[in-house]
Amino acid sequence: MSLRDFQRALTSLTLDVGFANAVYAGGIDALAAYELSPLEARRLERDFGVGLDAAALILDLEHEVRRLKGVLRAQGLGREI
Amino acid sequence: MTERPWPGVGVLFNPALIDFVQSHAAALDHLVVMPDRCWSDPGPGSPHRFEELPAAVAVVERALGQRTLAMHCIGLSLCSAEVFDLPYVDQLAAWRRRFGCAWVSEHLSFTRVGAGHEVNASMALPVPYDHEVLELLVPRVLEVQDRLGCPFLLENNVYYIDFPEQEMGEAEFLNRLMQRTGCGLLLDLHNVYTNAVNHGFDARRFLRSLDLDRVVEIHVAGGEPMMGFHTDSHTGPVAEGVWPFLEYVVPHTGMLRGVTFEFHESSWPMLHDAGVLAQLERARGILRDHAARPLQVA
Repeated sequence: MSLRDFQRALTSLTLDVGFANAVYAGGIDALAAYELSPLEARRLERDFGVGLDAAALILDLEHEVRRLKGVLRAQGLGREI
Repeated sequence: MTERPWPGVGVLFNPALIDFVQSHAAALDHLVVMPDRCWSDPGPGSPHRFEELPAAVAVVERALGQRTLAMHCIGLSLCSAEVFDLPYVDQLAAWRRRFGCAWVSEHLSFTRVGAGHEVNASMALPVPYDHEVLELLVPRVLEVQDRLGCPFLLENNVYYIDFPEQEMGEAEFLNRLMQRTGCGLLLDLHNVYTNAVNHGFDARRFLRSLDLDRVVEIHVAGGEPMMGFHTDSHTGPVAEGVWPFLEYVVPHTGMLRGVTFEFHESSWPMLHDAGVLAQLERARGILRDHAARPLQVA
């Protein structure tokens, strides 16, 4: 149960910026809906609210940057980017 | 028994390479395809799983008989605590038999959570390198290998966050998993490079601690700086810092089958044929100069 809930919480932290911010602001209390061991809670509450938020944003931006670069380079504008 | 100049070089197929794989067949010893991009899958419980996409399958069929084929999966989510998708594994096994794939690889991560009502994070999330996760994975890897009937490789992760208080390091975890299951390693050198840059560790020390004798495939790629991170965005040519790692690793491998260049299709306008060929030729040169021994294959 614990690993299952850890993964569910990690997924929510990654996909839900609001939840990530709540964990960052409120720590373990914001994770009360999940059955986590003390170690798992520490792993998630540390500064991962911000860290995961940034990681998710990076992944989103990676996709967007690649898409835009492809479009712009196809139109001959790649060198100016 | 035939002799082939293993290991060779290849590409991870993407839609920008449809013409390339035909017009530069001689440049490719192997072609790696992502089967998840060749079918649609609404997920467990759906009667319409693995409906093939004809254009994508046609590419795989055209490649048949021309070169070695391998599969690189993104949908198994092997590390999910509550998902072990055996119909997905059986679908891979059917494709492995149909197309004669030489090996199949997956990521050491999870993307799917929730039984019944699954949520897919659409990105490879890391797992802590703990005994609990190791014990979860060992029987699964054994089961997957048994059903596939070919070498099964797991890929080292790229991660932008690092869990505190892990029971093992990544290398020890991978080594234990390989020792207990006999699975191979897909060593993604750009992942190592990215992690080393972002987390400030010595990449060569990490590589030395891996059981390199179990490396079957190596991935090389490029990335970009963003928000203070180096990202594994697969944009453009191979990152310059990755090539020395390839030179370092190749002589220590014993069962290496190939080096694979992977890039995102949006980078094609900056690479074109010449750019891809240049990456392949550079990788081939390193193999020629540094490979410990050629392999014989049946």
